Amino acid sequence: MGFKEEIQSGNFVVTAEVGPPKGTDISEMKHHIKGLKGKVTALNVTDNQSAVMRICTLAVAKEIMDIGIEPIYQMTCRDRNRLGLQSDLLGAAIMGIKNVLALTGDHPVLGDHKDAKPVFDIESVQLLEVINGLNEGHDMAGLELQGATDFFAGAIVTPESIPFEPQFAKFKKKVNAGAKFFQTQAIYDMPKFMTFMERAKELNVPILAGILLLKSAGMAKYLNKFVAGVSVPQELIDELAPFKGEDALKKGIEIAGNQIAQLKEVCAGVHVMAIGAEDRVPDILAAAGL
Amino acid sequence: MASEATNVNSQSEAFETWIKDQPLKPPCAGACPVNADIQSFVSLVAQGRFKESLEAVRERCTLPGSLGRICHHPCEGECRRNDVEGAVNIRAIKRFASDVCADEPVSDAVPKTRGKKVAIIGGGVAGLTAAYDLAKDGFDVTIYEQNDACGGAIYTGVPKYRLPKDVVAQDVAAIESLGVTIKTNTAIGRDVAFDDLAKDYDAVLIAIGLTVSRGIPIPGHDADGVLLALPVLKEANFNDNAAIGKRVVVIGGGNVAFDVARSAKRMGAEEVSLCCLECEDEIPAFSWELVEAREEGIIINPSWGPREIRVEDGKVSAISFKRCSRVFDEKGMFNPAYDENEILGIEADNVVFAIGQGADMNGFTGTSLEVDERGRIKWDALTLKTNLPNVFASGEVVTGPGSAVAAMRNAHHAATAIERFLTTGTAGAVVVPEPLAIGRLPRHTIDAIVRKEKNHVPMVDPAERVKSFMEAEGGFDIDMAIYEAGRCMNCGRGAEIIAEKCAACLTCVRVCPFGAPYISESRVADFNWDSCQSCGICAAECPGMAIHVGFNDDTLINERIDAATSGITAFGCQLGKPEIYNPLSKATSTPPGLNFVKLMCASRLDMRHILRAIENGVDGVAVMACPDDKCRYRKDVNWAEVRANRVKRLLDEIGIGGERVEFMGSFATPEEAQQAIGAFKAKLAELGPNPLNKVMVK
Amino acid sequence: MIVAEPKSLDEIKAMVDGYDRVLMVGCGTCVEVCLTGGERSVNLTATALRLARKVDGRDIEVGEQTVIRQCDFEYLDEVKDADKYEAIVSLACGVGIQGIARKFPNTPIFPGVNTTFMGFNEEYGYYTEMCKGCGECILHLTGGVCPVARCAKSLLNGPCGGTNNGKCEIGSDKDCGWVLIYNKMEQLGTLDKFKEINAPKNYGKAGNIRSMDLRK
Ligand SMILES: Cc1cc2nc3c(=O)[nH]c(=O)nc-3n(C[C@H](O)[C@H](O)[C@H](O)COP(=O)(O)OP(=O)(O)OC[C@H]3O[C@@H](n4cnc5c(N)ncnc54)[C@H](O)[C@@H]3O)c2cc1C
Ligand code: SF4
Ligand code: SF4
Ligand code: SF4
Ligand code: SF4
Repeated sequence: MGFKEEIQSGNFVVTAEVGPPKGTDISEMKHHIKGLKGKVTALNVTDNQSAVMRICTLAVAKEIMDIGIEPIYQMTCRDRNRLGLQSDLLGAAIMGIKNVLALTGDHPVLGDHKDAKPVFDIESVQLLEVINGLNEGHDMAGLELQGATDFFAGAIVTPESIPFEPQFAKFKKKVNAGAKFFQTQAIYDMPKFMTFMERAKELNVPILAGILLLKSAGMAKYLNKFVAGVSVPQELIDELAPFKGEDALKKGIEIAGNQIAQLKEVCAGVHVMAIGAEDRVPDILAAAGL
Repeated sequence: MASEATNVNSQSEAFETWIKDQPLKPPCAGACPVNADIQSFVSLVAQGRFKESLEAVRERCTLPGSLGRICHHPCEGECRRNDVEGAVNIRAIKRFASDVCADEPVSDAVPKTRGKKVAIIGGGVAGLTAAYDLAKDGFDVTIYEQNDACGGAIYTGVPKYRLPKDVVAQDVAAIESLGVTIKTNTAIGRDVAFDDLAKDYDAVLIAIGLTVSRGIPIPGHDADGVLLALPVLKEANFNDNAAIGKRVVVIGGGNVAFDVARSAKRMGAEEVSLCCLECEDEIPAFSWELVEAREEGIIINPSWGPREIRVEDGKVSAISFKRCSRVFDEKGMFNPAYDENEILGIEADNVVFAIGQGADMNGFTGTSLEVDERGRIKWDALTLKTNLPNVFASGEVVTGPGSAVAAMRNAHHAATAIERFLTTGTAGAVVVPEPLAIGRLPRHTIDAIVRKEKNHVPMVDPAERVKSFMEAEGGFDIDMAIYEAGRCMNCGRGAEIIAEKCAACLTCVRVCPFGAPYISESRVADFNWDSCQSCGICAAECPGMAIHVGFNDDTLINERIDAATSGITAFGCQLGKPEIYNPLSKATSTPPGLNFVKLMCASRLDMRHILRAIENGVDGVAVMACPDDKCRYRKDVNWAEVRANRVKRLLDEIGIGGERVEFMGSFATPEEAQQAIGAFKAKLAELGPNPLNKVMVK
Repeated sequence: MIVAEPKSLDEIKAMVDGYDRVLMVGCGTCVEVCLTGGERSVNLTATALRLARKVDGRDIEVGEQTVIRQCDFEYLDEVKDADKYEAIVSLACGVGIQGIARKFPNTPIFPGVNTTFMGFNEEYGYYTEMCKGCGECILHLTGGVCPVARCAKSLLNGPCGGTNNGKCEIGSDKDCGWVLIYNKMEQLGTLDKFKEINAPKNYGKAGNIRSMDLRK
């Protein structure tokens, strides 16, 4: 069964992600991808993540498919206007990509080409509508396609965004715009996340909780300070604080495993982010008893 | 004052131009009977320009040292600072300006360009004032004074403890130095015949004052020991061994009565009481006279009318009074009523009548000068003329008793009348424009004004001062005077709009700490002068350069900037202290190599001013601004610092280097300031000369 | 109002490097109001330029004039003696600069400011961008807060994931436009409108060589 089918049949799914490198040497990336084979249902490919210029998503998605994993094609609206986005989507379709995650994208000033002209011709909600249209056989201008697409479109939501209400309102819009699954920003505060899930019930959409591997107490503090919509509770920081290096990583893996175990009954799946430690994803899953 | 303007040639025209140029005056100037340009002379003191200040005082207040002591200062009553925490001590500032310049050489004589001669009979307040104006107008003026010196009532009457005689002499000398001929010990009627004078001179002014004290013909009034006010005061003033009885009763409630009572105390009287018709609240003397008299142990008995003087062996032994139940009738006329049942008896060695003065017309009987049935000169208040075509009269002889400054006012009018008569050949009504006073401070402005407590002048302790005729009131020292002058808010000389340049951008509205600017119905900025404090913050920010600040005029500032083409130019608050007082110039001055440009407030500093100084070739610019808690203006932003920093950045870009501009705070002492300047100088020496100069040399 | 920021003196100096007589012309409307192009700015910039050239040992004559608006030919008629100068530096916005360039076709024109945005005058010396001139105003849909100008990504359907405690992901000194919109709509009781998906903008109206003709 593919990603879409697993989700639709109610199986607990696990996704992870791969960040394309800057440059043409992809040996390390390939090594990571290979390590995840058989461990995850699908693998996200980020799109110039954090507005840092890297290998394009399509090319990396191809590598993933070649290795034998199903990619989730992340598409941001930052770098292409509506022409570019649609033509890339058509390209993805003929390459056999089935899953698309529609994102707005980080602003260029956060990345490594700060002077770039931000495009944002359309944004995530509208992109979801565009994908629907392509699936229905027409483009944004309403013109008929010679062969439609058949994408399984998803989107993201940030359950710990402050303020939350506008975020939740946009979440609903995304559902209405045709998002069939959601991956969340990293979550740590379980009770808070449970409340979110309670509210999300009415929307009846599969949600994959974002699990970001904590590698040290310092990293946790950094997230709190600099990453919007992420907040690591003090207990977790205290738990990590006594450990260093590999020990801290192990503790992080234990924490992530715990979280996943708790989420099993609540979510459609988890999206595991182990930035720079992709090879430890299997350990996390093991710790979660998967 | 506008007298510098070239098209003006007479004192009266100068005055009128001053009023017309800017009819809205601060209320102090409006309340002053001679409409002295108070804020100008006060501001000059604040800036350490004492001699210039004194000249500014003299323009309208011709006897600065004397009036700086005895003027009843109605100006202070109207000072807008009353609504904040207390009036500016204007009188003390004036006195300071005069005292600090006491040893100054007197001015040069004014050339007698008019070819006409004026005789003034009486060298009192009125005569001297008219002489000042007419001499400045270029007339040949001669004063005939019967006494051995000029000054009139303030010389012979006002006691020394209030007004030392050398101060009067100093004031008189300044007027004499203008080229006025003074003939003392020359009484008209006795030494020179009035009619001859009227013939010999193109114009004559009679200003003989009121020199005869009156008594009341109650029983015993002619006994030995019954005295009159003016002779007692004269004795006190000119006889170092003047004496009086142990128990003295003074009759009268005016200022003269108080002068007599307080003089009697100083002449050795042990028990002095003052009895007057008026009740406590109606006593005509100034309130501070009552306070000071009581401090000196004088017993004040209000509401008593003299009834009878008891005489023993031809000498006064006591006096009795009857209760005075009212002084004025329903119509407000002087018409006292008594209750004969209530009697007060006081034992006395001397009784002094101080109930009023009359004119001594003896010198004019049988001359062509006409008098009315009561012996008063026939006189027209509008033209200031007598019955004779070239004879005018002024001062108390015609106006009746009043204050010195009121006599001065009348004398300015008389001088105007004479000047016009001698210029045109006909005498007309003298209509002098009255300034309009700006309004009171609005509440929101009062709240925004930094409180600065009033400086009072020191008074000698009562127990000490009654022992002699030494001056009772002290004066300001330099620091006190500068502080006090710095309290003046320069009302009504603030921001003015140049409407065609205004873009209605609201910058002024936003930066003014006092809420003065507003956008008017015609969609340009306008300024509420009731609120404006003349700080100039707005003018230095206005992007259209559409604001003119009266007291901080760009032309004037630029002139001062242009005074230096090398060394350091410093900008700062007029109250800043890089300067040391120079007793020779009667002004504070800066050390060599420093051009200190004083601004009303350092916030007036415009970036353009700094650039101008640099362009002139100075090596560095120091900006001195008071710390916010010292600033007389409340402001959220230290504008001087902001602007200095902006220019620094610009100079970096220009290639001259921002380090040539240094922002300094304010300094507590001139020494501190000089130290900072010294350090800056050393830094500049390292930097070398202003690159603009180097280029010029090449 | 149009907001412009001063160009650096270095830039202006470099632009007029080949000239010894330049005329600096200010504009008494928008750029005067935002304190960058009025008579004061002309005077300060001209003085600075003069001094900078003096330091280099080459004098320059800088004429100073300010007109009511540089975006109208009639007001540009007020510019006097332009023929006495080799070049003109304009402190008006880009519109005015081009106006003066058209007025004096044979004189090289240099911009003395960078025209930045259409802004609101918040307080003395502080201006904020409020409108992008998108040509298709949707303020009625967004509680009177413009998402095109006040959201860093010109999003049309709610905040992005970077929104952070009411601030934008591009800087904690900038308000998140979408939080402002949400709060305002909540205050207005129009949140039901927030649910509706706003269609992509017609950027055809914002770009191209725009003009407007009201003559008919
Ligand atoms: C005791 C006293 C205290 C006062 N205190 C104050 C005070 O504190 N504050 C205040 O503002 N005012 C005070 N005054 C009032 C003030 O002095 C008078 O208002 C002012 O002096 C009037 O000026 P004048 O020129 O009209 O007369 P005067 O000053 O009296 O001058 C007249 C002059 O004419 C001379 N003269 C008269 N006849 C002849 C003649 N025939 N020939 C030649 N010369 C002649 C006299 O000798 C005298 O010098 C006081 C007055 C007195 C008497
Ligand atoms: S503050 Fe100065 S100008 Fe204003 S009324 Fe008082 S003395 Fe006059
Ligand atoms: S700052 Fe100048 S241009 Fe702006 S409103 Fe005030 S006076 Fe007018
Ligand atoms: S001069 Fe000062 S007090 Fe007067 S309007 Fe300007 S800023 Fe306000
Ligand atoms: S944080 Fe707010 S203002 Fe900034 S890009 Fe995201 S939605 Fe727009």
